[in-house]
Amino acid sequence: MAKEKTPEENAFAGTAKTLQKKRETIAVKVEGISKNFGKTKAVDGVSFEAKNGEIFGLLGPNGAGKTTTIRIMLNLIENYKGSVEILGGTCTEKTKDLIGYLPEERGLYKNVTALEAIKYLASLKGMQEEEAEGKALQLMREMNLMEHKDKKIFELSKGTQQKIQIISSIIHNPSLFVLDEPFSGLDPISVKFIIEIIEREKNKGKAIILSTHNMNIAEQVCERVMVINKGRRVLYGNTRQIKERYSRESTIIELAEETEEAEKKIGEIIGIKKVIAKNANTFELLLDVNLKPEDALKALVSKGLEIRRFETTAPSLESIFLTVVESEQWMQE
Amino acid sequence: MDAGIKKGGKMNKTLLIAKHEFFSNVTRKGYLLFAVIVPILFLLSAAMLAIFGTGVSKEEVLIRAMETPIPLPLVIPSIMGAIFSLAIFISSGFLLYGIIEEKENRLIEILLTSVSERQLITGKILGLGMLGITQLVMWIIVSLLAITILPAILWMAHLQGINALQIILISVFFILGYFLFATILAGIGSVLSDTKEASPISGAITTISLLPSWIVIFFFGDPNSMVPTILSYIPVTAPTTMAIRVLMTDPPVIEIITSIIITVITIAAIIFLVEKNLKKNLLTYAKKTKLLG
Repeated sequence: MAKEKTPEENAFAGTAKTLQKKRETIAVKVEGISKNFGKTKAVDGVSFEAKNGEIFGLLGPNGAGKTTTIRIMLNLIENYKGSVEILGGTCTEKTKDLIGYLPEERGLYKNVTALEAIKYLASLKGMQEEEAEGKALQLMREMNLMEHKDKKIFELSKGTQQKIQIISSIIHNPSLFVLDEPFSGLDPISVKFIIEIIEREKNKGKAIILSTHNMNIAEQVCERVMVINKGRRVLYGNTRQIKERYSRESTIIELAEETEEAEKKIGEIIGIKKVIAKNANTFELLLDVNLKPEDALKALVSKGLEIRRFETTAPSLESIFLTVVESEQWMQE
Repeated sequence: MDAGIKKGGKMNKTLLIAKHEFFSNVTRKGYLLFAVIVPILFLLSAAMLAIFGTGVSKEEVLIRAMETPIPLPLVIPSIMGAIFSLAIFISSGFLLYGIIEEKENRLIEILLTSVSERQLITGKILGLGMLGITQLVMWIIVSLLAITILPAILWMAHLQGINALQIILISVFFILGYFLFATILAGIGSVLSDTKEASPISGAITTISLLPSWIVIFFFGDPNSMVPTILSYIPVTAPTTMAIRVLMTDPPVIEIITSIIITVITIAAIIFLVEKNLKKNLLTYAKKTKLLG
């Protein structure tokens, strides 16, 4: 006979079930959005979905249209083509309280203290003063910012100001986090802390849209990604599946010694689509489907290169990113 | 709904913005100078005059006042008009620079993903309006104290007969003047992208708003003559001109009403235009990559 579950276990199972159900729901649905600024197409027919309980990576080179996409999504830009559904409807005043937004370029009121700045922005998200103060102090303590709480914003370093702004964007326990380059300018400890926060929120069933240039972090934390380039979507789907799709094409080689012309020589081999230098004597090569790894190895040896390591591997998100952005190939999930 | 989020009513957020604007600007040097230090100096001057000018008869004060190169009964309303304009302009100027600063440091994006454009602008106008009213109240208190110490001020300015209706009308024109300049400057702030661009424009608007205070000396021998009457109908000069005219004389009721209507219509038209284009303009800013504006 099966052991009866305790009320706690039942509650846990219920919560887990609810969370799982929540994870299947869509937090943001963007369909065919386009926006022109004069003659420039900032965003051109971009569609994507971000689900609850996942970290969705919004990737792309500078000027690709990431920020415009975010602004359209958050109703900061009007007069665009396409449709946006956010937390089950259009972005209304009520929805705003459920969104935590960290813009790419940041600033705070200069003449108020760090604690006042956080409390004011939290109050505009509907938090009560005492509640905002308690949560602000808790987050400041966690981020080792207590010594700065009564300092004016202009007295703080850029990194500290950024941490204050990150606290302001997450303090109100939003359902949807939209973080535009949250890691830029932060030390590794703070980066780790921010990753912990967003993973914790994800596990609570929150939706996180993360725009970043840091491919290593994107690869590490994002379940699904979208790469946009020149306003168009060039890659979209599950991070793991994308990597698998490219896995046969990626090879890591390590040369016995550093040579100045190694990268050039490797690039000359027909069938090697891309050479990414990992360090002075390690390269990631993306092979054309017609070039078998063993043939690539032969070609490298014939170029006079002494190979210490040759390994076919899953490509890094960075190499896929560089490839798709440069070739602008269109891939559907 | 998640714990930690309480529904903030529409009015609440507007009032929160108003409160923030009031308290973050009340300690500014420019404001303290004009709202506290200058009134105190004014009061001290009145006290000095009272101490050293004792024993002079009312008639003698009037004769001396009229014998000055520009008669004091005209100079005092002119100064009062200038104080009136500056009180309006200092508060609405904070609105102009506040909006541009928020655009420069991108806070505007966080604000507009928290509140509506209308809540933001209304909150700012209300908060800074309270700042303007506080300033005016300070001047009224100081003026009453000065008059108590030195009643000759009233004789000099020909203000002996000032009544409650005049004070109400002046207050109405102060509030209208504030709303007019606040909306004009909010509109300008929403299209500009740099505080440097704002200085010449705000300078020009200050000049226009101060115009009635300057020309009062030349034309207000008869406050109901053609030039003051025309200025009462031009929106940017109407509030100050009418406040001075109400202070000095009894302008025809029809002119007071017409002036109020013209100003109200102008305010409504500007609010309509600003709101219509606000979001589009609020996100236009100079390409800068600094963390703080």
